[in-house]
Amino acid sequence: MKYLDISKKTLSFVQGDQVEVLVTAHDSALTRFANSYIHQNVKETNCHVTVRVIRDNKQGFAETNSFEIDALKAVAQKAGEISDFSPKDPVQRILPGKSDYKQLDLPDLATISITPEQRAEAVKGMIDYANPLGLTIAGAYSNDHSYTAIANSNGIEAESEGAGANLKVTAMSTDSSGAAEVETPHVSEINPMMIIKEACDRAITSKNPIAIDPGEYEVVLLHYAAAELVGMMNWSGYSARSAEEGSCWTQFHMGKQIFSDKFTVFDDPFDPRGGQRAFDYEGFPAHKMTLINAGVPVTLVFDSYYATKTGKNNTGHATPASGGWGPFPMNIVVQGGNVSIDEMISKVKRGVLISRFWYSNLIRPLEIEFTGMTRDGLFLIEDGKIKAGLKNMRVTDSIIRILSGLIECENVTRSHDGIICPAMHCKSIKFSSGTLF
Amino acid sequence: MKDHIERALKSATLEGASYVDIRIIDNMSERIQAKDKAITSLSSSRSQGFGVRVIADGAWGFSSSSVVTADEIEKVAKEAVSIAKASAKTIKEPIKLAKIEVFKDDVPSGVIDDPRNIPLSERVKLALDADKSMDISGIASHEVGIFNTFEEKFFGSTEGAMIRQERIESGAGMEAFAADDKAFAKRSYPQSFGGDFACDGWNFVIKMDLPGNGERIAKQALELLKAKPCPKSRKDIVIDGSQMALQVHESLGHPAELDRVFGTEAAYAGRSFIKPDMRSCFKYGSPIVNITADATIPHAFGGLKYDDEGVKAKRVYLVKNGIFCDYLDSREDAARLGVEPMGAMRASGWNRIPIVRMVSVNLEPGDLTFGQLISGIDDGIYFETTLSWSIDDHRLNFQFSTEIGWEIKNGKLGEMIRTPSYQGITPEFWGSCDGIGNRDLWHVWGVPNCGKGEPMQTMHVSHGTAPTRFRNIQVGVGS
Repeated sequence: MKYLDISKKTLSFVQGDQVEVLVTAHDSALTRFANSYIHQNVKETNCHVTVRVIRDNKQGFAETNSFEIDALKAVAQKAGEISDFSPKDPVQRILPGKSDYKQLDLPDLATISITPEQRAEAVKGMIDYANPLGLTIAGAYSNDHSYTAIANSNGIEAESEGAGANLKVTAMSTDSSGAAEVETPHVSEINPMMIIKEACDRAITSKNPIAIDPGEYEVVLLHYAAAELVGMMNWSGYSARSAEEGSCWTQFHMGKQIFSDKFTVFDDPFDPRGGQRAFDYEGFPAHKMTLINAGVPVTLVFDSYYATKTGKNNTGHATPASGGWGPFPMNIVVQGGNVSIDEMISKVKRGVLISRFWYSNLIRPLEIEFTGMTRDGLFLIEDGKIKAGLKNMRVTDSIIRILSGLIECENVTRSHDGIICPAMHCKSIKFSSGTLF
Repeated sequence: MKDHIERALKSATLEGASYVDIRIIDNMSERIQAKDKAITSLSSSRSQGFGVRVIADGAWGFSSSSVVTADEIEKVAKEAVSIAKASAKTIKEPIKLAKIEVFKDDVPSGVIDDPRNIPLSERVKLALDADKSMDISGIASHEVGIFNTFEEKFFGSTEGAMIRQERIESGAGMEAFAADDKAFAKRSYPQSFGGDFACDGWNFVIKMDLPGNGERIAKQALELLKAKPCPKSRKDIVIDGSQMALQVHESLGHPAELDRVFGTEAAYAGRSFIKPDMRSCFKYGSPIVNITADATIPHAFGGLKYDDEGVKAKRVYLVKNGIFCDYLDSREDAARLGVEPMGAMRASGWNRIPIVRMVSVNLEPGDLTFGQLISGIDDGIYFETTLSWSIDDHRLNFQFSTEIGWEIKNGKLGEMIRTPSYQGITPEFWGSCDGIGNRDLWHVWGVPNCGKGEPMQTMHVSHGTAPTRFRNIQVGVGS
């Protein structure tokens, strides 16, 4: 059976005022290497069938990872039984109705078909490049083939298929490291030799790191670091659920110029460089939205529940309802600028270049104040040039403050952690302490 | 299941594997989530599958599937061997495993008060009662989660192991949110990360008394909006047990993982500053600091009888009298270090390969009452309930914030402090420890969200801790 057929078949196994069946399935593989050899090499085939039953505005969920008919019948009936135990929700639950969807490209066959041997050959080539430079490498090369199908009793019938690949590598000397990564729906865009060269160049340039004092520094953020900041903004930034809880930073700044006018953020489910989706996890059609326009937050995002609860329009941002996470933007794209990274560096009199952050966490959500460490390449910039590698530092700062001082964005945008983002040049970032390496 | 296991072992061996193990798992979980006087998620989930791990041509291979049939097991076992042979293109030396005693065993859950015997309506009512208890004027939102998991796991290996283990996990927690146009505050009970967890049945949830604590934390959330900020200076501090669980987890548990030490987590979870030559001689903390890895604690969330390599659980000291003495390890890493494996290889499910994880890693209790801990401070801060955490990838520089704090003035708790933070360097920080709460204050906290590995594995671990005192610590970092 095809996945949508499984959804529709499962719908028939239970009665309810509204019933929804979400089917996800994936085949994924990952080759992990460290100390310049492959130490883990894994493959997984899995699926989830989640049934939501709403009776008298009481909802229940049940999930299985089996496509056997008996299992599908059992999970449908279990969801129905659970709904009967649930109290009546004061907010009317109205699932989306029949919709048309934008046609997406089929997943890239070459990306789906990467073999363990191909991944191992790529890793071996990178090891052979790094070892003569006196560097050891670690990283992971993965590919994934996924399916989503949703059917509900209001007429939703949606299905999609996707693929992705990711190669990331960290090159290390005794006192330095550098990392590089490519994530893409098309494996043809992964050039292991370019990635290993980027990582090794950064590891070599950051050898013999020196220490600087905590304080405020002009900063160039590579796209890895910039995407991590933008990702933290997303945690509680745009969701109607976090607005309800009072932890949403946009709710007090809607329509106000709080960032630099160089900062524009979209949620774009059709960007071909990301994980495209034609619909959300309730089957509501997806569309491109502007979240921050030239430094001004302009909207929150909603699913069917929060749209009804707040009287707003559904924006197509439902996450799987059984998780209870509420609506969330899943395809963040930051608009690029007009300059290269080298041009950004050339304009810095004295500052730092941050390659990436590590273990960052929000402290105060309304200010988007976070703390996190730099990792795999922190550099001192003087007189427009990289002067030296630096020992890693801890940032404790407000992302609103950092991006209010955004000077310009890189003319290229790339995907990292599912966020498509350029490198950024900002007036300053605050280091609160340093570490020993 | 025995037939499935033997089929996997035989198929992979015939393909050329020199070692094979298989785990077959049936996992059922239940989640009840109440929010703002409604049930927002009431769900039941079942995940079945198996994972086959092999050594072939001296390298590791792993494959897994959710389809538990004889044909699929044979296919996946062969696939694991093919993957291992691809891995072998890069190996420097063939994998060696430390020798272990091989067991055949059947391990029941040991839980008397099985949550499945409690009517679902009763479990739902508890969630709603707890949620309602936080519904006081001014609170923006409140939420309760109750979780139960039931797992049956079979393990077999070509060395002759044949082990069946049952596990029943239960946990619960709740949060109250308050906000105005200047500040946001959250209070959690009994701790962050969704609450507290154990393998101790439904009574563990009942004993938390969620409804009896809702109004208290909701009022505190409102008070936090007006509370004074954390001063920026060096102070003596006392950290509550739940935040101490995080402190142990991040700055002692993770750096003691031997795979980090050997670099196999270097690209993701990171490395460790504890090098092998520091074993048995490095001063990790003050002489009163004793840290154990103990998977044998009854009903602990990080407890187990056998790990996912079939190694029988042990209690070992990681730090004894302040000196670092041992690692959390795997059979492969133990062979490399020349030690006996202690049983810390765990996978988060059938679809993940085992990696080195914490079990129950504990700061052993001291001899002070809470009053004695506080009374020894003239000017300090008491920290309670984790809010924010961050540590560098060698596990040295950390910075943590808690939801709430109180001044300590002349040996007594004083005014409330919002979002207090402290920062330190791991060995210096543990070296400043001069007081640990006694056995009466000691509790094994269940932590459900320890992330590590690629693909990501979220592991259930635990930490026995009591409130603990540290001297001359940097507090009040950031705005």
